[in-house]
Amino acid sequence: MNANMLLLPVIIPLLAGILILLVRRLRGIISLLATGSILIIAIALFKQQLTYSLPWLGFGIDFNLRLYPFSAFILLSITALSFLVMLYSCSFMQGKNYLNQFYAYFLITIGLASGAVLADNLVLMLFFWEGLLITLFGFIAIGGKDAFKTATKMFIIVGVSDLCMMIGIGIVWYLTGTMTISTLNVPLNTLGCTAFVLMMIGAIAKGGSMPFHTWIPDAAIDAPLPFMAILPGCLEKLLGIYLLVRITMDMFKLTPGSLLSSLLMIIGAVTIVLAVMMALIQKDYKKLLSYHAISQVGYMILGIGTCLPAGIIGGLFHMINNALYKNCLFLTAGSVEKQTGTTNLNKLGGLWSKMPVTAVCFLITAASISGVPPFNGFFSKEMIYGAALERGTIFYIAALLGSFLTAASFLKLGHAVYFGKRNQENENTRESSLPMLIPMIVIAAVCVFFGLYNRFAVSYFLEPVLAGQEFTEHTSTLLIALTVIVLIVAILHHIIGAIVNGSGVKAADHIHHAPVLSGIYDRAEKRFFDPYEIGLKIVSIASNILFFLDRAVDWIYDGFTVKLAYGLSGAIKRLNTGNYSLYIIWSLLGGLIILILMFKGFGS
Amino acid sequence: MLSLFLLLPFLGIIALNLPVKGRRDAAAFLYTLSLSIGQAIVVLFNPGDFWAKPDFWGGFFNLGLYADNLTFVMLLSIGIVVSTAVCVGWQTISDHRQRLNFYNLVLIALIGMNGTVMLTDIFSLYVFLEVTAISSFILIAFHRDLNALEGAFKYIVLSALATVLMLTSIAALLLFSGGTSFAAVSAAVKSNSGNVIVIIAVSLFICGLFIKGGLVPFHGWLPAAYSAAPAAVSILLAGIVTKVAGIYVLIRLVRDVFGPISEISSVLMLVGTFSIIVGALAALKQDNFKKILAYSSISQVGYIVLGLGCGSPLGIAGAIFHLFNHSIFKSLLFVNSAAVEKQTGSTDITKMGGLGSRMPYSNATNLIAIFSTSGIPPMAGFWSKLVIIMALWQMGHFTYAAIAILVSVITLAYLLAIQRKVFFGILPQELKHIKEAGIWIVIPAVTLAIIIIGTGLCFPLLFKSFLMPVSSFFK
Amino acid sequence: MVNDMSQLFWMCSIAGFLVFIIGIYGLLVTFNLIRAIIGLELLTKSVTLFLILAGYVTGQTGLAQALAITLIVIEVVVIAIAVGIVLCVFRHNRTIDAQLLRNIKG
Repeated sequence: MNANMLLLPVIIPLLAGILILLVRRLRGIISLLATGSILIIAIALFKQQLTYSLPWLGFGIDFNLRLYPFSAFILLSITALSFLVMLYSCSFMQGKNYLNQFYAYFLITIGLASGAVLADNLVLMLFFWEGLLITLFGFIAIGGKDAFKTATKMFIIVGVSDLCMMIGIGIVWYLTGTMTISTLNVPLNTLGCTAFVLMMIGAIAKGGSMPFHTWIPDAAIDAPLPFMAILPGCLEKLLGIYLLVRITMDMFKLTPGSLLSSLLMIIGAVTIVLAVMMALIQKDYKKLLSYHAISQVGYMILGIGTCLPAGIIGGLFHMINNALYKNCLFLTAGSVEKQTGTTNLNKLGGLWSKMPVTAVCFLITAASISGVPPFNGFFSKEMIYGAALERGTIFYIAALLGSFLTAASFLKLGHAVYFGKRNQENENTRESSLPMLIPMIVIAAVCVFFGLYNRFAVSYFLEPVLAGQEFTEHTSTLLIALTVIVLIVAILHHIIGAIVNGSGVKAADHIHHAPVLSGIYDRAEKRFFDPYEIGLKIVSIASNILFFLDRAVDWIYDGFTVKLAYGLSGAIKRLNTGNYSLYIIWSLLGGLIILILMFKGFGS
Repeated sequence: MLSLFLLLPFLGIIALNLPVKGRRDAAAFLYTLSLSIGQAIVVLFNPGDFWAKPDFWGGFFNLGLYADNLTFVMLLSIGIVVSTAVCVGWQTISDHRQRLNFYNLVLIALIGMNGTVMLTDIFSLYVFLEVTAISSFILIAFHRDLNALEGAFKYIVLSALATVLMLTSIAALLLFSGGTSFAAVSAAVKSNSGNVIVIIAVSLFICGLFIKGGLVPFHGWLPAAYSAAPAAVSILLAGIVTKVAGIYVLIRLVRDVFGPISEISSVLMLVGTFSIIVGALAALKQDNFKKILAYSSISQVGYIVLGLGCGSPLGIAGAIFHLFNHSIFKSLLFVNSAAVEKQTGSTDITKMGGLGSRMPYSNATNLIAIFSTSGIPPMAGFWSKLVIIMALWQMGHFTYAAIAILVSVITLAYLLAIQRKVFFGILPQELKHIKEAGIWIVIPAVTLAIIIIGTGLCFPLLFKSFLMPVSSFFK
Repeated sequence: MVNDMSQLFWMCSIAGFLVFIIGIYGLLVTFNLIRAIIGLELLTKSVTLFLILAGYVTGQTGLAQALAITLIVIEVVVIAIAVGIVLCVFRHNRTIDAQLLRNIKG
């Protein structure tokens, strides 16, 4: 295994994507081959440490790729999940528009993501990171006419955060003079803290935490479903949290108890609670799942923000778990959408008997995400609870509240879609086709596996990341008991809510219409709190002012000087009367003036 | 051998006016053309020995001719412009006898100009200046229409004023010097430089030269004469007569005779700047093609004088180069105006439009001339303006440099207005039958355009070898 | 002799100046083209006077005479041309009013 193989996960998908754009046929086969091959390469390269280095642009910007346990692990996840989703989308996307572009964007995104993960040079990583913006834009925009606005929104939000990251990288370079990530060690003075905050903004915006999340629910409706599965579902989290861990652990070496770690924890906690509260009231399958994606990122950020080894491992474990079950959840949503044609919760119901495999996968993954033992979500959340409790009770309570609401909303979702009364139109739905079922089954199985053998998962995949640091379990029976109690309360709450409000869908409506919360919910639905919308309003005011100034400057150039010149020209024309006596007088006057000037000793 | 420049035209005049039958005008045309082209070529390939040889009549006619590098530049310009005017004259003047008269007068002007640039005596300088002026008077009034007569009369009146001023100054200088040759006058001025009468004399002479050269506020005759004269004569006037009469003499005197007196430099810069501004501004609102070009001439001559007044060898080099360039591009502009005037019958640009498609050569060469005038690389005009502005900057005259650059913009404005109104735009109904001007107008235009581009491209080569020796000649 | 010379000198210079001023005034003010030409003539004559004076004062009478004669010759040619132009103007409009020559304005 030589180092040149490191280039392959980056180059193969890129070339395959471009190939698909040029050659219209054999899309599915090419993309499957591409993703399959890089999966094999990622498996083969696992457990090795390789570096690949090529001088690129000057100034210390080199084409450095580095494979070490952490990046190998992420690379493996990316390739495996993308292979599965690609398999899924071969079946799902039949009959939709813009198929060429879809596959091309998919592949190019994977290539760029692999590059970003493997990159060892900050500028190189930035290069791949920014490239993702373009493919994301294209990916969303092919979903339909309205998708363009969402794509623009995504571009601006993620673009601005990427800009912050760029500035952060610039400050890092200024502070340390090098761009190679593995050798960086940035001091934490004021400038370093600013750099950290800026890069953190870039990382968490990519992951989709608040307040950079507003494009994800919109994209959930507008973009094609496999996009939602692979990108906000897993790739973004993987990349965002990967970067967050690297800057917290390697580059800046945060310590527990510092201000920045508290900042991270606060962001994480707020994200958890607010996002899941929004998720609770959604009436659309995909939008609900997307809000949950945002909320789960909060857990990861919280875990990493604790800066304790338990918390970081918890956060990373949660990251991979989330990638798995969020992916599968979106795939089930896609399966339902394909078979029934809708994702509106009011129209769905009782699909248990018609789509059993989908329903079982849904059950497993919903249980994982809610933190039900013995699935994988339970274990990762326990680790995070333990670390969070050690740092502050408020964070633990926030996480627990998030768990409660997550469980409640998934109970609602499951009830609404798979149980309950079946709608008339859905009498004829069948189970999805095999290429769509296989990925779901595989992922659900891995969720179970990671849950039952979580010790193995943690020690094999994750502990090498924290090379050298001590890792002790912080869980105690108290915590486990609390978690189980919360779950039981959630189930009870749901049953009561369903009975009170009528159907499964409306199980959470009493929260929706609670006194203070209903006002907030209404405004949130109208995008009152959306920073993007607020930003747009400010930008339009600013642009009006600048336009006005520009008109003024224009008047000076175009209006004023031209009139001045023409006025002077007219004056000179009028002076010229055609009378030669006047010319003689001019000459004599001129001569007189010259004489006077000569005599005054004019000039030096 | 320098007197050949004077002798050959003179013999030509005699020969052409012998009562011989046949197409004397064709003979005149060929003779004048070959003489002027010969002058240009001979100057370019300059066998130094040849010029230093004494004339074949030994010491009998001691005309005191002397030729240095500045003279060669002027002889080259004279040759090029006279050949152009001769070609255009063949095309625009239709009558045989008129043509013969025209070529005779051109030959007289040629004698006058060659003499002016080669002599080293102030009074003889003045005499040949008058010879040139006389032939110009008649040439302007050639077709005897009222406008031309008006232009000629104004030129006569102001030229007479200039004569008076110059001669008064010579008289005053005679009080101090032992003769009128350059050496004597120079010695007189230098030794008596504080004397009131000498200063008055110097200023009067310079004022006279300003009138001849057409600088503001002594320029009253210039728009009338340039615009009213027939096409070929405008070329001659604008291209060379004003330059030789006014500017060459100014350069020669300021550089060699009067020496670098600082007040003269300041006066030159002031008058130059004033000319640049007034010339450019006045050209903005004109309707007559030739009047715009006339005011443009005033403006460009202002640049030359500005460079001259700068006080450094680089400035003088820039001024001389701009003089040469101005002859070429102004002649080209007037050639194009001649073409347009001949084809459309008027010089009112508001009535024209869209001629570019019918007259491609005129269009292209006009564009080249415009770029050269406004100083756009890589044409020659850019280099000469650059040198002048650099010289100003070096000597610390920042305002003058700024004004020079700003007025370049106005220059571009009015010239592009011409281009747009005449050559671009829509062809009006009555002009649908226009064709390209005759070959004797197109050939000089193309040649001049090639010279502009060639000089512009080869300027970096020319700079060291050509210009610096010309300027650094303080006696 | 010196007294005579200087007296002569001053008288001639004042006379010269007078002629100069009359010439300029005539040229500027008149509406008659012929009178304008006469004004030109007067100007040139005054300058000739100056030349001769200068030669007289410095003792270069020979040079001054040569210059003066050359000047007179040139002057004759110029005046002849000017009169020819005025003649052509007369043939156009049967008048020699200077206001006729104000067409080229602006």
